[in-house]
Amino acid sequence: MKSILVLGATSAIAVSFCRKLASSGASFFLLGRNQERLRVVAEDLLVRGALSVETRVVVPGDFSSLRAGMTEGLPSGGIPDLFLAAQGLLPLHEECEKDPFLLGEVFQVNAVEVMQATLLAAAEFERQGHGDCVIIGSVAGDRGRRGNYVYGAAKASLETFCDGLRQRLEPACRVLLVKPGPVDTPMTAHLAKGVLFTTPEKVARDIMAALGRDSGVLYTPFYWRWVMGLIRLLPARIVKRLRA
Amino acid sequence: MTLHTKTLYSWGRRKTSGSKVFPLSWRGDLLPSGAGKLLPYGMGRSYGDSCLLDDGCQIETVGLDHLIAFDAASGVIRCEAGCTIASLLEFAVPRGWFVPVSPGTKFVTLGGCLANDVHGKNHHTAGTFGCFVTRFGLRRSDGLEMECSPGENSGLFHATIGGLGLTGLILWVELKLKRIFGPFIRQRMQKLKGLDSFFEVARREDNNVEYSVAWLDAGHAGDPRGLFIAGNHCSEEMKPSPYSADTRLSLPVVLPDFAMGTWSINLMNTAFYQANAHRSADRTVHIDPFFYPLDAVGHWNRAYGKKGLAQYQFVVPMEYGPEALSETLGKVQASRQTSFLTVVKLFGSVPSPGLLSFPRPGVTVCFDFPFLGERTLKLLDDLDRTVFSCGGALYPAKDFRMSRESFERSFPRHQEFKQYIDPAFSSNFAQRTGLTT
Repeated sequence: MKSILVLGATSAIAVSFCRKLASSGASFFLLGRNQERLRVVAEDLLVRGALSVETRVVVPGDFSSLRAGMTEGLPSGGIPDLFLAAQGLLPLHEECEKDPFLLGEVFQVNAVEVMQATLLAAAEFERQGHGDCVIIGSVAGDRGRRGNYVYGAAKASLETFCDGLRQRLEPACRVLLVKPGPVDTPMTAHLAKGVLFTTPEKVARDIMAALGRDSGVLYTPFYWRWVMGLIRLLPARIVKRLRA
Repeated sequence: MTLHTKTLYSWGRRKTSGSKVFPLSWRGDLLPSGAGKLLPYGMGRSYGDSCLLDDGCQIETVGLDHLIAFDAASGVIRCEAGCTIASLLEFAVPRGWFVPVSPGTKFVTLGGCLANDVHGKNHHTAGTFGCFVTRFGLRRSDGLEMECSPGENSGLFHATIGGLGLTGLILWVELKLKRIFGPFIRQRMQKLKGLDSFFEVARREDNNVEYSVAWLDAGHAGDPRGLFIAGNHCSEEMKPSPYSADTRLSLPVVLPDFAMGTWSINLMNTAFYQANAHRSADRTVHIDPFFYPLDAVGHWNRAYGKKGLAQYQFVVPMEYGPEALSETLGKVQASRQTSFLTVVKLFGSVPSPGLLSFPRPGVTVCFDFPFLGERTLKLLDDLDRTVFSCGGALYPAKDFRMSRESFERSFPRHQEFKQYIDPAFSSNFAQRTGLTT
């Protein structure tokens, strides 16, 4: 019986992941922005066999509300076995370029709040001597790209963060950075869907498998490890000529 | 939210033009306003154009897939309308429950099953999908959420069942599941030879079997031949087994048009007949190959090439069955076109609950042709003459070409239905058949 704490619990990847654990009778503490949507997810998990589900609304951009939510979900005595940070915001890139003010929100949602919450969880996990952190990054963070480098930069910061945190917490606690390729979710509804798109169910399945394997970085689907490996090796001279 | 223009396809590869899409994943959300006419779009498994709307806004419902409540004692489940049968089975089968009525694919949403009042191999014992729906929620374009059941908003209840998505957005469905003891079916196959055998065997066997369908080798010249495929759920107690809705194989690209030419289809039909006509009659099979044989290959419709396929399904009263079957089969063969999957089924007498439900007592026949443009359209017009001279009806879920007159002859309660249409909703099918403007 596991106990799971989730930030961004109404995201499609989080919902798919929680559903996989619900049937084995896990308990959940869900943080999100929208009470009504949290309630819908909670009902769904309960029907699927979750032992218990609690929800709290976290106000975006308000650290005290994030801390309050996390503190309630992390009662000292150490209950959660796993913390999942799945909140994300994919802006229209052109709008970010026109209005750099938007960049603040992109970093706030994708990076700052994710790291803040993870630090709160890490402190508790360190104290209780176990607990895994699963953080949703993106292949977009592996190398800057003309069409989404603002989002990519925010996701890239998670990698450095996870590298360091892993050194701090392992071996007692694991830190898994998940880098999905494009996923067909409400967040990407405005993008044209190509053959490279995968489903949140597939991402959730891969996360479950990776947790059993003790890996630090998960590319999902697996081929992104090779694709991004090659792209990372491209010399900067060539990369700056790419316009994709 | 910004709306984006996107081309949507139906399973027969008809497509939209100039339509925007609005993904709706939360049942508390309102419908988009000022985006033109609306139509829900689930898995796009309707074959024709009843799931498509040009120059409007299609509400994508696959994200609307949360379970709401389940009573493990009675098997009544309430879930959002974008849930697919596949995902429902993943939940229900390990708990010993099954969908009470299942169409030929599990990759359909429950909202779609309700809006087309679909039928399955157990129509002769169970009736349609709508017969097991106890209640549902409907979002109208004025923002109201209406709860509909036989006792509450009953007009809208009967209009929405089989209502082709025109009465509003179905938000959730409450459904009575069927108890099973495991994911297996005891299947029996027997050879059918001669036209009369299609009716005799079915009439005799349908008293003993829960599921039945006859497959017909449409390319075979001479006496019609086929296979009668029947089954019952295995009744032995089995331990709960996991169930996965994954498709292992998928056709990644659209094949060239000649891939499903007359020659190759006839070859495949002959091969299927020969492979099954001589094997032992009784076998235990998994529910997937029994109910959803085509789901084994994802995107199988791509085999039909860019032009897609044209399904044609009709029902005629029982007494005209043999006549209608032999006449339509003759016309198909005379036109030198061929049908890959031809099925014949006797509908039972359980009344369908919807104003526009297609199933009614009689014989239903379904052809599926590679779409050859004008030639296929001419053949279908010719088949219409047989169907309507026998007092029959056509199935909207498979149609992309029936005229207003054909529609009104098929569905005598169309006038009564119109009062329940949501004024903001429409579809290409509804416009062609005069349901909406």
